[in-house]
Amino acid sequence: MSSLVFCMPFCLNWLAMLSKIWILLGPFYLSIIFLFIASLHPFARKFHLSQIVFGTVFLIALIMSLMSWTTYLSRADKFLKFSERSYEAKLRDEDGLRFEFLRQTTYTKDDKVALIGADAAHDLHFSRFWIYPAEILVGKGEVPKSNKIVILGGAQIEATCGAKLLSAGAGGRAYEVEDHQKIAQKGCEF
Amino acid sequence: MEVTNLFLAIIYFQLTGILVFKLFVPQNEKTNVLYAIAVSWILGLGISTFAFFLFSLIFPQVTLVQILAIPFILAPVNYYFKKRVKVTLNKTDLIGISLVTFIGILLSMSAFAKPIFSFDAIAFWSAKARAIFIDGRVTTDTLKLFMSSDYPLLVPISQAITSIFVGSFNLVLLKGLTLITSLNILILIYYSVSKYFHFWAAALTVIIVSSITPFMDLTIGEHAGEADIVFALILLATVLAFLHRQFLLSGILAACLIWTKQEGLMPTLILSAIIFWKERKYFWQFASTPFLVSVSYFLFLKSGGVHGQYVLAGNYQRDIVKYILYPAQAFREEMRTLRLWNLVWWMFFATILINFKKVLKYPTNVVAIIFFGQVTFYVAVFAWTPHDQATQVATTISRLVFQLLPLGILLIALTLGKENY
Repeated sequence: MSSLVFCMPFCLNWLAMLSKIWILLGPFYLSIIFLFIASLHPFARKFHLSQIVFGTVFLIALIMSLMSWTTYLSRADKFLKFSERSYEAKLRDEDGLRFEFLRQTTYTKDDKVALIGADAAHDLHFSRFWIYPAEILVGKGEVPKSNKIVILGGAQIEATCGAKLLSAGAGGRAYEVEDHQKIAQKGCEF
Repeated sequence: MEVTNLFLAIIYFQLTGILVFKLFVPQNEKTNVLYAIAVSWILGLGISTFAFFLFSLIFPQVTLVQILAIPFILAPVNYYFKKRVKVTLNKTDLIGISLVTFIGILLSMSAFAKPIFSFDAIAFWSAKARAIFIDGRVTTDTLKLFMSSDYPLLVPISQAITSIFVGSFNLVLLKGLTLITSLNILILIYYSVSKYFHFWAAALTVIIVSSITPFMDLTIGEHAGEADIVFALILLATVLAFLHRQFLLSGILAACLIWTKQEGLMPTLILSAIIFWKERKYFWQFASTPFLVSVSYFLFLKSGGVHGQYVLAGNYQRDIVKYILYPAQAFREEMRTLRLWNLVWWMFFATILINFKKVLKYPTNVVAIIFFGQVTFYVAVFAWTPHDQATQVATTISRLVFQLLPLGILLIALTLGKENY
């Protein structure tokens, strides 16, 4: 009897999962509690009531845990397919990593990077992760004098305006400055 | 090659930890293998990162040579003292190791499918690590560039050391460190529960904890690479060492706790006060290491003009009752959510309510005091935070509750169980 009761919640749980009628789990859990306590009845005197209650709750927790593991494993094949793709593709998938385009350029201690379009504090921190150890100059109004420019967002510098494109991505573009005066002149605003 | 080097880094931390563990565990005392593995891992991370920090005060650049020197210095010291440590391994321990290894294999399927990418990791934990890796040392000028510049450095330096082994800063491979730390939490939970219950109860507890959403999130998901999972492991190990009356080792672990996150000061102060009150002759054995570590790091920060955001910029002009009630209610709401925490916190509070008298007995009450002291500390920090309170509570509460999860399970085991060995 006790082994049947022990197996029952697992079977009911799997049934509910297969049929995807989740609401069935509520009454199932309640019946499990009563069945579990009832099954203990002949030797219930051996146990303290708190032990019976704790054992029942523990059993339910275990069922819920197995459900979580089942969900995890059912999604694991997706993870495996995901890992087969390139590292760059993975990075582009995540919104928090849209600054990944900065990784494609090496920044040195001697570089001064003008950061344009960093509207939120987050932008500055995410950019610094990749731009370090170069010095960051935050542009306000006009472009600070620098040898590299990073523009966050969709804006870009025209090819004739004295800047060579280093990298581009979902989060923005990075340029090497060839002629700072050209960038500052009319018609080259961005 | 990079993967092989990651394994070498993991072996390096474990080996360094074993050498330190052997030095500080009491002679001829029986030590369980699970406890030895987990504590050695923490000591390996703690000692090698703090040594890296000290080396960077001396050398212009810390290289692999200096990093490898640490176990080479510790090995002859071990040989000189010739200490014998009796490590016990029984069948149930093997079951625990096998179960955790199996869970590790399952988790690694998705752990290495995504890089570290959460805001906290990219803004400061891993950002500092990358800067330390590039510079080859720790300087206050570099720390000042990043958010939360005053935060302790165990996690950033451990990532930097791993990157030095690997040869590049790889945000995917660095998740290996978090994964090993998470598995050590499971090992220590298995040990804590099997100490008081039959081994199957311990195994089932490990299965339950491993499926909890914040555990998955911190191990393989968005928040991997942050410090909370390391903090949770060290907090449990510190309390276990205290319960084993290994006060020197507990003190070293408490120092590692402070070296991981500033909130480690609270349990350290509570334990110091309890040891001063109950076991006064061991007070300095416990308190000296955390005191030295915190003072030296504080002086280092002050010398470079790095200030703490909470002390200076705290908001002290608020309707304080309202601002205390909000995070307190947030803890209640977080803990009662089955989707996140299964029934663990329901069992925790039910255990305390049913066995209230037992919880008050020494040394179980020490675990309870640390637990609730830590919750009170978090509520106080939220009440005076310079940031928007609701946003900060919403973005951090799951991770803070996770820090207390292993301790909560220990408290359940201590209250309901009988010591087996």
